[in-house]
Amino acid sequence: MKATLLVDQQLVIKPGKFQAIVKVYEVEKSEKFPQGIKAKLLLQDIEHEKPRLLIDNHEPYGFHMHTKLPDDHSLRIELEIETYQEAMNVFFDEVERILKNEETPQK
Amino acid sequence: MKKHHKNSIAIDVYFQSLESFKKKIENAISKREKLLQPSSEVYFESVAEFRKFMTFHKFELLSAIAYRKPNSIYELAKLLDRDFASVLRDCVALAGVGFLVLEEKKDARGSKAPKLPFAYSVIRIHFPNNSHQMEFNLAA
Repeated sequence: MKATLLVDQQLVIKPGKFQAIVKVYEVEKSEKFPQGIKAKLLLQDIEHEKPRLLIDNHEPYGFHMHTKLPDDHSLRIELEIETYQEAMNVFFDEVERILKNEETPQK
Repeated sequence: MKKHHKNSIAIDVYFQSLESFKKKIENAISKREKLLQPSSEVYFESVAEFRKFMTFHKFELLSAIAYRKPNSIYELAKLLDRDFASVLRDCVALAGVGFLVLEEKKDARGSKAPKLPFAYSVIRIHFPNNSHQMEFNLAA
């Protein structure tokens, strides 16, 4: 089964600042993709044209989080989750945390 | 900016909360239904965020790209009589959202030409809950 693009959605969250970009592919169910779902959940920093947060589950990894892109692709935080629903929850919770921190002046 | 007739090619602006964005995606995945956003649609989290984003300068910039077709951001800045850095910043922001694309030119400097992603001439705003629509003509 060829990977089929299932979801391609974008939402501007903070004007000129952040955009949430979600791409989901339907793939063959396998050990790596037990739900047959390959997902890329990205919070893009529009102003600096770089990813601020990325959660994906490309091979050979399960769901993991990148927080130092584009400088450090090798830094992956493994997420102990199995499903895309959990990945979505982690992503959107983290997005809300980032937005909250942006609004709060750093001490 | 003024209202425009209905037959123009438009880019449509919609509003959606982060929560409903998430629900829409989860629903599509669970039903294995395709949910592909066309390039003619842009989603903002709220009307307030859109108003903050779409400044007069950005609107004027889109209008200049649509009708005066500059070959570079530098040329666009000259057309608008604005400084290059602020025009570049506006172009990057508009490109990030999908209102324009920055096409790499095949010159030695690797400069970029600002273009509309398709030949739209109207920005159509769909206010929440289908309450009403408003259209802004780039030719205005």
